[in-house]
Amino acid sequence: MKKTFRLSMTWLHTWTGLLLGWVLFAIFVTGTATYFKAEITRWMQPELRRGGTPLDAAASAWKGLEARAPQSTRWFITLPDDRVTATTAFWQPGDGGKRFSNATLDPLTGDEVKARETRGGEFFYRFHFQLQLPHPWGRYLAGVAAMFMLVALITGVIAHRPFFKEFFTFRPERPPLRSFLDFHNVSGVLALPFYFLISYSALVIFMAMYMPWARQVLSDSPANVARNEAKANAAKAADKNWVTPAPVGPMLDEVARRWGLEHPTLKRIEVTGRGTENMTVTFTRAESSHISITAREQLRFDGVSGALLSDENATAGAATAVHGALYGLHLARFAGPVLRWMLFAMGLMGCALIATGLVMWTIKRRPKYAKAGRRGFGQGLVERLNIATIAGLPVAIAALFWANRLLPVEGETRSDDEVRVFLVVWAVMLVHPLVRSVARAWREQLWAGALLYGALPIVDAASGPFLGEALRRGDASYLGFHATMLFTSAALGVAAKKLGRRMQIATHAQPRMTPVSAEGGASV
Amino acid sequence: MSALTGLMAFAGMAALALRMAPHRRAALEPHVQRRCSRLSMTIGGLVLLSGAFALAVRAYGWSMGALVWFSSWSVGGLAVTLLLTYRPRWLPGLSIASVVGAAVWMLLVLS
Repeated sequence: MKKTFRLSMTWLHTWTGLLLGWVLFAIFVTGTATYFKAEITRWMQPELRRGGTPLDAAASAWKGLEARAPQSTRWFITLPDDRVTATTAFWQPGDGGKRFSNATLDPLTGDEVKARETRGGEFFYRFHFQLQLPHPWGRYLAGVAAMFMLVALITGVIAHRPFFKEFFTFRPERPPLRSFLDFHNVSGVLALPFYFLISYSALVIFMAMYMPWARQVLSDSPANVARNEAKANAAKAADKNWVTPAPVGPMLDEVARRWGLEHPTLKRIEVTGRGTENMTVTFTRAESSHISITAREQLRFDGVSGALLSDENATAGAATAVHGALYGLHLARFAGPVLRWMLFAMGLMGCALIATGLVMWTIKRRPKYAKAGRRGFGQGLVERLNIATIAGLPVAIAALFWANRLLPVEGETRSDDEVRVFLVVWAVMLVHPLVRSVARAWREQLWAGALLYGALPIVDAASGPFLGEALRRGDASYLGFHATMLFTSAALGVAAKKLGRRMQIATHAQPRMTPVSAEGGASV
Repeated sequence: MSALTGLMAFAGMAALALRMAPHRRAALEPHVQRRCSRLSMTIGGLVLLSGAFALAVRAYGWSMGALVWFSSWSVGGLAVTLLLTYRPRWLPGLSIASVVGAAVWMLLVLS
């Protein structure tokens, strides 16, 4: 145990932060990108077009599915809104097989869209909590990382207590340790409520997985009841005569009358027991007026008579309600553009918080090793992992975007190839610091990132007509993607340049290099 | 509405920053420093931040309002910090502009 309470908290902060810092950084970067999942998908599948209201899209998707999956007993349709362009449909095959088929449908015709195969923004969303690891290990690791983050936050507030007298202070011209500590404090303190919310709600989302006993409290949730019912129906349809479903037109009219045609309107359609006398059609409204994912507005129709079923807004137990609210807060599906950008900015602050923390660990220990004239194994390892994560991950993500534009559009395994490019490039970024000196590797990877992001508009314009079309239409989401990429490029470029200048100063001032003590009392 | 909350929270954070001696010296001319006492900056900042909170809760309800509110001052605070670092003299003007902007907006939207 350390001498004082604060010293032991500082110790805990240092080591919890370091141990899972790299994982947390990757989770934060991909999670921040996920706030714009729909926009990223839109850029990565530029062939998809917009058209009509969600209700028009529902009618054409229904027609399309009647042609495509006539014998199926279960349909799930997700409709476009003002951010998502395409209609996506899942259905269970007519023979009751377990494997669902899926298709992306054109919102105007209901035909399957021929768009390039890609995971789109879904990749970031999945990576954010599964980390590209085999199930369930990614989720466990993400959970451990969330737990560590919570500990690092609490201990960090205690360790960096003197920050209060230096609120709003950032001094980039001061020695590295000082200016990194400034930024660590600023990004840490200002968005503290966000970090607590995000790490706590992350734990709550998968708490049933981390602590399976909780499931007993949640098992009465409406979703679970519906799921069991659907299973029974699918079995029934197989051995009974086919019952003709009612036309969907009048149901959609009723939905339009209640929810209107504009944004918070119809978002999802779920058809269960299709072809049986138990057929039900459930319409779910877009989440925008409330946070919770369980408190949804729904309309249910009898699928045979077409009659509206009485509202059975089953009230969930208190545990389910809290779980739904925290889950909803974490996903932030309700956020409008301004709040979404603010959340994105706080996500970036979180990335900066983790990155500065990781880098400070090495800066703090550098003078000790320089004085002793040897290089510690741990120090070298952390330096290199820092480079591969903080500078290397952005390079790998840029490579994913390049792959999206440069791989042949018709490729069968295209979406897997994209991910493979991402992983291979990231692996290269991990090896690269082993053959270069630390300072060089930092600079080269940061420059690589700046170049890859900066040249993305050129790649886009050279590989298809989409950028030109977006410019002509003034497509805010498409151009916003490019603006964000250019901003990322500029940020990485500035970091690389500053690092270069620092290196020059450091080599010129070699003899005077003295151990820098942490000012302001906050030791790292 | 979150943009309005954001403007008020930015101005509120700016006022709270301008009650701290080093930031006052960096951002305010000496004669302005004498005129704007630290007490008035504190009160102004707290009033603006609570105003932003009231607006957010009125527009979005308690839970989502709280989220919008703390997001506003987090991002607003970052803006204040970056301004104090690179363009400290712009801070007073920009925060007055955002208070005026917020007031005009409120008159237009809430009337």
